[in-house]
Amino acid sequence: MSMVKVTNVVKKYGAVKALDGIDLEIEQGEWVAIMGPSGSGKTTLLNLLGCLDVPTSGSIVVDGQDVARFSANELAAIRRERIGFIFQQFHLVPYLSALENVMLAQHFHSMANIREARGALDAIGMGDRARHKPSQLSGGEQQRVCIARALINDPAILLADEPTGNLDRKNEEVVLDLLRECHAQGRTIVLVTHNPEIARHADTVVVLSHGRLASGGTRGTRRCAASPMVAEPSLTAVGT
Amino acid sequence: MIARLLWASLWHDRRRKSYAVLNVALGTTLATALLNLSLDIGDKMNQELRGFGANLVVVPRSTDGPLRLGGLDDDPLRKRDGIPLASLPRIKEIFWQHNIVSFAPLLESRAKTKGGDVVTIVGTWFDRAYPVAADDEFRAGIARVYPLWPMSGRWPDDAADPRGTVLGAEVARKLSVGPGDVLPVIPLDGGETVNLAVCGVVRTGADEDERVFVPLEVASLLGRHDDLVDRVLVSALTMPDNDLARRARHARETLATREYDVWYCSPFVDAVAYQIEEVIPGARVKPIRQITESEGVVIRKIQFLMAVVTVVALSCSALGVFSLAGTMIADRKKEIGLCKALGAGNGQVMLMFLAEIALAGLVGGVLGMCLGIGVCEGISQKLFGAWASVKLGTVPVVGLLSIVVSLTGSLIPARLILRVEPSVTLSGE
Ligand SMILES: Nc1ncnc2c1ncn2[C@@H]1O[C@H](COP(=O)(O)OP(=O)(O)OP(=O)(O)O)[C@@H](O)[C@H]1O
Ligand SMILES: [Mg+2]
Repeated sequence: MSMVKVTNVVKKYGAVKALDGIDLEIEQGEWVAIMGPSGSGKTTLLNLLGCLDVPTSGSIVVDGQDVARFSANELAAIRRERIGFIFQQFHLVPYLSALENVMLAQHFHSMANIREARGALDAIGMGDRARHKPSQLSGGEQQRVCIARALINDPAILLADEPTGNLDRKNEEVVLDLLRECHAQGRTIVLVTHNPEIARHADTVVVLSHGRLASGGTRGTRRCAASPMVAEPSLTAVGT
Repeated sequence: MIARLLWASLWHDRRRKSYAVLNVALGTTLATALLNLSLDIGDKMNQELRGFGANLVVVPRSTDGPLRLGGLDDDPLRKRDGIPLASLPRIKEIFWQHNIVSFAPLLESRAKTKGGDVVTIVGTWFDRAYPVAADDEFRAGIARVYPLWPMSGRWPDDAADPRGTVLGAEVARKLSVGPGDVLPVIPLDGGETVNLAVCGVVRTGADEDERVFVPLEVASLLGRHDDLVDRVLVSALTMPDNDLARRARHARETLATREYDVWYCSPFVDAVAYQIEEVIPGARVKPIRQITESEGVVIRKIQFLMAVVTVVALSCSALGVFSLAGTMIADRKKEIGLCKALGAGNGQVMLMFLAEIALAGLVGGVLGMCLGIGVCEGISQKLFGAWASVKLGTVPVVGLLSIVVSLTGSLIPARLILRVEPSVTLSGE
């Protein structure tokens, strides 16, 4: 059964068609990488998948419900229950400690639980920095806190928009390892990236161009083999 | 978590929050000060006005007819009956005994000077210790009833100056005597000369200017030798008349039992008069009404003015909170977007924001309350030279006002929260 089914989705910003008829199906436990040039609609698509926004037309079925016509509060409920976000800019609340940032997500989901939150930080190796404010953490550390926050409510889908865009090689590796771990645990991941090295780890690579799926000009889900070894050549094929 | 969140957010944004606090504090300072003052001003004005003299006069029941404010009866043919001196302590035994500021007996007679002029002598008490059951520090006398009489020289001391005298200004001018002089007077029926020691000269612009005020004992030497006085001036703290008091005045018998009890147990001038009549048989107690009536009108006007100023001040606070809340939301769009992305509903985010503002408002309210009480006492000291009694009832009122002010100020800006799109605020650098 598919986790998310996107059918003929169009998203317009005024005259700009950010997405122009997207069809996409994401399976439970699948890792999807979205690639494409700047302005091609990657973030827009991710926002729709994350129920942060609704499409101008088309349907997005999550858990058997079409969220395309959901109200703001209904969308919030879906986000709360099913989705974890990892941002390129981390978006940690500056005046809360790492621990409190994680607890904030718990708070909106159900109830803050300091032991669980601490456990989540320990799991990503940030246990000793729990009391630090974001400004006292390096970029990589902030992103790890962000990941801990995204995972704390055990979301069905993890969405990441260029999670390593602001990180150096070393931290990129750390974040990637964490994502791989999530994938291994069977979590569904959708990740936007410019970096083919990262996309390599995905089961599926989707390439966007001018708001359409670029796959030999045909609409549809571009699917690669599950093994990264096999994925690599097909990815190169996509890139050219 | 909520508490932690609120605290962290308050502390993080403390500069702006302290502006909000200050804003509300200023408004509530004024509100507290004016509220307490306007509740207290009745008492204070009353006390103040007591300085202008008696508001009740006790006369024998047979002495009727017009009364002048603080004036003395000029009719030499009036019946010589009076109020027994021995009944005076009872004035301090009525239900409103603590509202009796002071009283002074008056006994009138005439005497001749060496030059043959006839002067009106008024025997009274100036200022004497008069311990009564309710108050052993009580002092009675005309100096207590009329503390503000413009006096050159001084009030005589009842104990130290047995012949101490206060002259009306006109008498002093006619006879060319002043403080420090001795004025010999002779009873009209030709008794022994009494040497009056002039301590002060008073000018009230009324009948008192034509009188010679002497100790009651001296007046008895010059005239009547019994224990009756012509009248007693009473200065009492009273409450401005309300509807009940007006109805009681015109038709006391129409009051229901409960209304009567309320009236009797309120310090309306009529109720106090009525209670004095109850304890002094054969006496009539007349309110000198101009004072209490105009008092009520003035107080109502002042209270209205204060209410207007309070409303304006609180509106200004709300306006200040309005602009602060607006910029606060604009500056924290990212945070709001994040909360929404994490699954917070609009209501939840709004509630958090309003709780934060309300908390700041409450802090401001408490601060304003303290400042306001200070200001109120300051004004009270300046205007009345006395501490205002702070009404505890104003505390919850002002606390509530501060929250209401901060919430009204922030409700409209809070609607901006609805418009924050997490997809927009979270993408982009
Ligand atoms: N809120 C918005 N209002 C108007 N236009 C928008 C908005 N968001 C995106 N767009 C437009 O939609 C198009 C797709 O934007 P999107 O952010 O999805 O691109 P992207 O693939 O994420 O680019 P990048 O790699 O630079 O992040 C762009 O032309 C962009 O200008
Ligand atoms: Mg983007």
